[in-house]
Amino acid sequence: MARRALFYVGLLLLLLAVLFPLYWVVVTSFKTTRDAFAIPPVWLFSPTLENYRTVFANRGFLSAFANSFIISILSSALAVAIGSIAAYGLAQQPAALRRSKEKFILSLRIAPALLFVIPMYYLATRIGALNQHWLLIAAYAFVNVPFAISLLITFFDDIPKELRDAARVDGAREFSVFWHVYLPAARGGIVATLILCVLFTWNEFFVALVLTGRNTQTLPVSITSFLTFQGIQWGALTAAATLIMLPMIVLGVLVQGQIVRGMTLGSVKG
Amino acid sequence: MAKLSIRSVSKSYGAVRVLNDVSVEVEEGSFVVLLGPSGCGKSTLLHAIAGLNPIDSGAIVIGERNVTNLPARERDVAMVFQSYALYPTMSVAENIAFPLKMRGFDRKTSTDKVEAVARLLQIEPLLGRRPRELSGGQRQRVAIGRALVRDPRLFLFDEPLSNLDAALRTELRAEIKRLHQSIRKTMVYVTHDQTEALTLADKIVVLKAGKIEQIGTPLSLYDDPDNAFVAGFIGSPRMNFLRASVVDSGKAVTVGDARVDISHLATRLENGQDVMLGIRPEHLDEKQGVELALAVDVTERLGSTAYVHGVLPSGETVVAERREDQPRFGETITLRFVPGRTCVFDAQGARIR
Repeated sequence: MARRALFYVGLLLLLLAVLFPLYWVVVTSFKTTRDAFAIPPVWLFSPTLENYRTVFANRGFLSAFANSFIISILSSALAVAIGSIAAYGLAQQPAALRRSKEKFILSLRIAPALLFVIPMYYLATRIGALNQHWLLIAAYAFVNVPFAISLLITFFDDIPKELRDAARVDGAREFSVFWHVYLPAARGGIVATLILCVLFTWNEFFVALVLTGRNTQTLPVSITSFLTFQGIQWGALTAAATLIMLPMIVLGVLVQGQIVRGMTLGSVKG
Repeated sequence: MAKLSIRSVSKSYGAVRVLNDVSVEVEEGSFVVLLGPSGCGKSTLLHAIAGLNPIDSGAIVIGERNVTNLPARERDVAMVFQSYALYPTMSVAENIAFPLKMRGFDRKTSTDKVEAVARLLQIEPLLGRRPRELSGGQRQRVAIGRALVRDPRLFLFDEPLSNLDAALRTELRAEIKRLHQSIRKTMVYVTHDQTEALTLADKIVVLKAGKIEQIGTPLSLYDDPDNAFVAGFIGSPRMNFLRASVVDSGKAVTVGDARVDISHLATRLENGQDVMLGIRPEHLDEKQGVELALAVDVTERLGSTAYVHGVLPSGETVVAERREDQPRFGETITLRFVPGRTCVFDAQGARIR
């Protein structure tokens, strides 16, 4: 009984540690500057939308929202498209061959993004691509592909090998097996991977800081414009942060359901 | 519809030789069963025929076409899997239509063919369902439908009934037999179950450790096995093997105290040679013949008949069928058999005829 109680107290502390900063950001975004800095903190206050007005009046923020949206969706779609074909191929390899290739993919995930970003920056300046969306789409797709492969392999591994055998006997070419059998059966995993890639890209700061120009700034970079020489606009900053988090929270809730759903149930014995 | 020739096929996984110079001829329209204990290479052979497993050497010829190096999709065979292998995201109708779709049939023809097959297998009400909504027997019926729909040259079955319960297995077994009789297509069927093999096959290929032990009709394998492995593997309860020693310049052997005449054999054995005498349980219940005393251990009553497990004076265990009396534990009964119904094997297990 005591151990159980301890477990719940621990859980509560952890939850607090994780959720309180989020709570503080959201609450601060609805406070006036005076309330935001009141000491001791004000728990009850009359909410204001002033900060949101400031954010929406900022044209840089709106275009950054659009940039983030386009770049994260397209790069994630690209990463999943490439990753799922690669993962399908790897899942069908004999164990020894597959292990050596998985090591290579893992090494790509271990390598810091810095390794790719500096040479990419250099190349991008030389060919004048620094202010174009496709540069970031390519960069993020590249960073996400190893992650997508290693995640999708586990979903493809869950699909019984006989399905591929059956499809091949039924007259399917390798790509048809992938397209008609494996892809639909791993739909849950594909969607989950896509969403996780979008989440990562949406929040990524470092690559974006180096590779974005004036027209391609994404949200994490653009939000720094509220840190000005005159001081930090906490109200606007927290309002912007809340707006950035919102779509991802919705996606996060969606992804949970998709991962849990087993798509291959019923195809084999049981 | 076509004949199938498997010509000296060999295959190894690393150092393990899973198929060792296997050759089988399957006549057009016949039903051949590959039978053997697990790990004997029977499934590997079937996958090789389907083109799912490359082989190291040898050739596979379907009809007049050498398909050894063709991919599975070009071999024009259909396969039914133990795990059913239905596509989980497609409906039953889509599953059955898949082979047609892959071969570019138009929708109208495809729908007609699917309906015809569904009618044949009595699964019409299931066409709109998903595989996970079906029972095991229904799933296997759909899998058979998927194999039938395309009218392939060769049907392959990989232990299709192993995942079903006993009653359903008997039912579907009869249905497969009926199917074969009505469409008369060449079928190759893999199983480790001798009942399935004996009831379905025109011809049985018995495999052990990647080698063919014997090929023959069910009856010939049962009555006239080439070696001790086939004799022991086919028949339930299995054949009894008794140690015997050759006497009378090869005219007879002794089993314990009993003398068994083997003068009908063409081969003349030498005095003192150790051999094995194989006797099936049902041949130990004769009215007269050579007598053996059996101390009864257990009697299994099966209604019309009973199987008596016991020990001979030599210490060897024996199973004997009893049709009339049903002896109890502790009793000693007399078994009688006719020398002509026995099989003689040498020490290596090869049949002496």
